Amino acid sequence: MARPGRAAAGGAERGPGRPIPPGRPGAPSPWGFWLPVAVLALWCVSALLGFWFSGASRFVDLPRILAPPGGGLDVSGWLGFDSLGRSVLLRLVEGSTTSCTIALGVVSAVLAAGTVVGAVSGFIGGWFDHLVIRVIDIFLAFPGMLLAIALAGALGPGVDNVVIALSAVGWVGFARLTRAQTLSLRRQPHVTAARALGVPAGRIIAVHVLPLVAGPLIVEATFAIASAVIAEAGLSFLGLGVQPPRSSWGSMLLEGAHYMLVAPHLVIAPAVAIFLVVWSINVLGDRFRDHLDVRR
Amino acid sequence: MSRYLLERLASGAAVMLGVLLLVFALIHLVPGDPVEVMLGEHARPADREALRESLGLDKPLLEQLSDYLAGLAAGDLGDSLRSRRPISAMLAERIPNTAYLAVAAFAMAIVIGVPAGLFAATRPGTAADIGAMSVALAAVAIPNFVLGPLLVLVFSFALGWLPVSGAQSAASIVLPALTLGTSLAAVLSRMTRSTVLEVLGQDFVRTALAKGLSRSQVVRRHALGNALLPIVTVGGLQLGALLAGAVITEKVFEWPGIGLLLVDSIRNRDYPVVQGCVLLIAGTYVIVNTATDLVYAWLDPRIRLRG
Repeated sequence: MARPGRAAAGGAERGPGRPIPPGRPGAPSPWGFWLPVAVLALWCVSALLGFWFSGASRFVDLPRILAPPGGGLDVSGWLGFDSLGRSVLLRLVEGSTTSCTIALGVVSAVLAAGTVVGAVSGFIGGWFDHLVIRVIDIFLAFPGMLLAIALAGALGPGVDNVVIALSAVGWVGFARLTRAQTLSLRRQPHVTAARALGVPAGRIIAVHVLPLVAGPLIVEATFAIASAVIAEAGLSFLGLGVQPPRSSWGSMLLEGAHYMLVAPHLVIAPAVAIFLVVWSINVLGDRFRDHLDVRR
Repeated sequence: MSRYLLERLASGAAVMLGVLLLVFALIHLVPGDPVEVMLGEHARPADREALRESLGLDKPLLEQLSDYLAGLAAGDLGDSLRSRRPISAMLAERIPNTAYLAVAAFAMAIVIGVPAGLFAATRPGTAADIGAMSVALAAVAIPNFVLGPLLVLVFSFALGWLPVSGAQSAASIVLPALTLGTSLAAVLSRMTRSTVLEVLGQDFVRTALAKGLSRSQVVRRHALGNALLPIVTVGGLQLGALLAGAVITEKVFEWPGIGLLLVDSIRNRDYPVVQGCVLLIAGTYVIVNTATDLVYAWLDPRIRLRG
């Protein structure tokens, strides 16, 4: 491929945390492991709880409009109340359900689609491979978020369309990665041997190629979860994502921005939530990649 | 050189054509009848037909595509449905604002990112290094729409130093540029750190040190120059990504650039303007990426002479 710089810098552009510094600073501290693990565990638990609390998080209580965070026995008031008197804590919990389900949905979709397209394209080669490469190049020519905004704008807002828009953007990275790995594997002796024994192509891909690609794919998928969380919140922030009354961290930020002077907690709560989740995924993704020693 | 140049330009042109096709297809992705979505359910049938005709949606698809491409070739992007003004004029008046924002953010990223990377690379493993790189790691984890409101909260409301939004005064650019430039600064600092560290491990650096040059001289004369190449590439590719990030940043600060026009047009269902904005941003991205590859090849003979 006559694309210097693209391989190295393409990584830096998409996944946070790339490229890998050869001398990583210091030995990782236990904090750098258990804190992100705890954050992500909390995220998942709260995503499950969100299914229960979606009613309570939409409960409008006008006397409590913009009330600041307060202690006491009423847990729902710990992070204060928003411009409709809804509990910020409960809306954060429902927002974690939104971000978690959308991120998992998008990543499973792009992982499946990208892997199949990339493996088939890299394995059979020929005109199909040329076509796939062209399509990948065109998709990569768009900054991902721009394409997602354009697609979500055309399709209209809503959870389904967010998943469709983000999946349409995200499969490309996985297809490119799987294709590159497959290309280097298809000439390996064990693949040649399988072919000589008459194993069908589909089975060779599934049994002799994909297991060897799994490591890099899982690392990529980890970072893709972070990207999906950011993208979902970003679309919702622009008003193109999840619609009210359903809560999203992005739309909480958008609403909170109007009341920043009187009720800064409306902005700070979702901002901290998004930051912690994305940071945790990036930190664990980095550790995971070092552990598997995936170098591209 | 010429073979590589031609190959790269041809692939850039092919990609550009694909971008055109995708942008053209955008209006056909609108679920249901795009005319009804744009005008609302209660529009008079005559108005609908008029809009359908003026957008050319009543013609066969291929004819629509050829009309669209012919219009583009003539510099005609159509008219806005809302303001009835030519889209090319609307884009033209927004371009300087977005360019100003992007350049300011880029400059800020270089001024912060490269020295921070150098600082960390010359003290590997120390608390300063770990601290700087942890900040950088945190900075990539903050999306623009999170960082922007937080900066407003601190610098506009708590401290009262800078304006909240808009583009009225010279100080208005500071927060948007900082918001947009932070993640690039973080990427650049990590990149600078890793490349400088790599260069510092090379034989010629040991030779230079053995000859009695001071550490700072070695870093300035030998390490930075050699580390510049990957930094240029990353910078160039990130300049394109910066344009996409500008969409959200412009929305956060109501900065009157292309991105804000895009978001507002989506909300107004003004799809021809949406197409124009997407085409402009994606087109710039393709051109910047192609140019970066060419500059890279020019800087590095290994690539230039390979083909």
